[in-house]
Amino acid sequence: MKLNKLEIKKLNDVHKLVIAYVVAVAVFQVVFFAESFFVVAKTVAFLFWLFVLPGIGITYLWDLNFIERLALAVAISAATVGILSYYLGLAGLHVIISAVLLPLIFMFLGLVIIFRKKIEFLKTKTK
Amino acid sequence: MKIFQLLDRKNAEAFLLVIFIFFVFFVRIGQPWNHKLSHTYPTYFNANDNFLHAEFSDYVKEKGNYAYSPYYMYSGYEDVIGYLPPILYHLSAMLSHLTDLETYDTTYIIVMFLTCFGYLLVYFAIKRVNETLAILSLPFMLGIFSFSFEIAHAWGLHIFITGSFFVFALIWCMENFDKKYSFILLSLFLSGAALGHTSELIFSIGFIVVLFAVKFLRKELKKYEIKNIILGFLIFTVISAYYLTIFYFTWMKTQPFTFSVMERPIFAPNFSVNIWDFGITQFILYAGLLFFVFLILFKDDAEKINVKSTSPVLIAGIFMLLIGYTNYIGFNIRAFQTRIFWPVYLAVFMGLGLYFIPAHFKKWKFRYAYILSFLLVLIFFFNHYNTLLGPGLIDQEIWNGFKWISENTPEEAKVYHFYSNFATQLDAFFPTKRVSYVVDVNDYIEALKAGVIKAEYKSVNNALIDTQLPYRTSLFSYGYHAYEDDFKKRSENVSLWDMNYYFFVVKDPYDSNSVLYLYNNYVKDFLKNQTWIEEVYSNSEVVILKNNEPGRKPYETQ
Repeated sequence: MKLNKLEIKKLNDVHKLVIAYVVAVAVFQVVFFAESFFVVAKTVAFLFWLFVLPGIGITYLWDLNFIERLALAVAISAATVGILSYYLGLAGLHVIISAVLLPLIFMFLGLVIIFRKKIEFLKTKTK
Repeated sequence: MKIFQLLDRKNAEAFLLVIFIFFVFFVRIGQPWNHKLSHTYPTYFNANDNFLHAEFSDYVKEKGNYAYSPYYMYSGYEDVIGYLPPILYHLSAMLSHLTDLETYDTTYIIVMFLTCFGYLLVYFAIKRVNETLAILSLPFMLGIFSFSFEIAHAWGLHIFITGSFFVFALIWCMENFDKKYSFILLSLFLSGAALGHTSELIFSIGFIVVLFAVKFLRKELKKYEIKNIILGFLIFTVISAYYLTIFYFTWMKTQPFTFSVMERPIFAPNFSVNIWDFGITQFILYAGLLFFVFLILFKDDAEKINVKSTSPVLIAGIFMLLIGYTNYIGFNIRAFQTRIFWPVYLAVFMGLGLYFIPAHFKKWKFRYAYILSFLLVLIFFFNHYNTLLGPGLIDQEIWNGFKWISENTPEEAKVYHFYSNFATQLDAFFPTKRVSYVVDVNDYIEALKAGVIKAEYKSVNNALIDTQLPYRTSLFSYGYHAYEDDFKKRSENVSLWDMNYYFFVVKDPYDSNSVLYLYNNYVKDFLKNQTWIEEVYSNSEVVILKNNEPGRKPYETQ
């Protein structure tokens, strides 16, 4: 059975994520118009790094529209990264290492979830 | 009409949400911050809590963890355990490391970010009930301007906002509880509330209990929901047990629940949130609440207009409305705090106020709902425009004075602060990162009235004693410095002459109380005239003196 391109695309929201980043930079740049573009772009990038990217992959466990996914990703990221950073800090890991390491770990976990979903999706479609 | 074809339902929603978030950011942070993202001093810091949370974030940034509390906030004790809810401090410290922005900026940015996404989560929770209702409810989350609703941001109730964000997320979760693995979200959001602002955890649990009781009574409780709740709570317990143990031995032991009535909030006696703060929109709210009662009484009616009366988002609204009044049974300040977010919790009823009657006659057209919602967003935006403006309690010169202290004095130095317009906002002195004592403003004013410069003024030991300076002796055993004699020694009969540094604000552009600054100058000159005291720093607003012989008093030489 030939796969519908649109259906496969549903599991690939990278372009939407890029659009979300661009929109967020645009919103921030207008709100903070007295700030340099570089500072705005960097701040939004790291807001995404801490508050969107760690959780967005996990949201693929559920069928949601993209903006809802984004909002849920912020909640998941804030909880997971915030709580783990606290406990890892107590165990001796400096917060700066958590800032780099934790989003990477959760992004990897998210990718695994997306990858598995994709395989599941392809399997059901080719049956 | 091409514009309407272009704006299909999905695009229209995205457009509306982006515009809404843009407006919220613009009036709540853009304007107060003079449209700058990075600042050279804490801008729009209006009260104690602004400084407190930014300073804790800065401490975590520097130390790398929140195992212990900063000694300079706790009268010099280095073993006071980190007992405040830690999530915000860690997130802020991380963002500060990554962006190079100062923690006083990142803390504020994060809470605004969480606020906006909290709005979105509640919006999507309402959307699960009814899409048109969600569209109509959205503008009321920003709502009509009342400073009472702005206190959380303007006065820095930042950890309360963090905890509330997880309550919003929990409402979304309960609205989507039929989804697979929803117990994971439940456990995460409960833990987020526990480590974000623990009173929000207590309210979250209360909300879940009420929701399940309603479902049970209406025979709508499903097996999988019970399973998910049990699993969710089990995981939450594992995640939060460590911090909740600390919470138990600090907050719960030192501030146990007692029945009491608090009619005005102690943090803002003149800004208690009341239902009439909704202004003209309160009538829409009353209508919405009335229609909600209709929906409960007439199930057919609810089905007809496609709004389920036992929806978690509606139950949460009612629950939080009632929690807002628990100041009459002992929840005190926490009840008042909850009222600050009434516009979010009650937005669904505002939406219902608009939605209910037209829905009975004709199906709402999305186009009209979007147009109405957009117009309301616009009205509320202009209603907020230019209402929240900076600069806050301190300015660049005072901040430079604080920085000088933190960078040029020994860590064990004690700093004495004389009158300033923020002398009653004691947490503002914590950025000096030194143990601080502050003159008793009333005593100072009395001396001024009497026209004398006293050799000693009443002083305040500027230590956070909200939980009595707790320290851990074993995992389940705590001591409290505030109950010990040593702390009494540090707090009682404090002598001006035992201090290492004196911090004077000699001029303040934001404070018209110039007589007190003139008096500050006289006192400064009196101290400076002592041979063992020298001026070590000054700018146009601040003078810092160093006491080279702490303990030496003037009468010994005069």
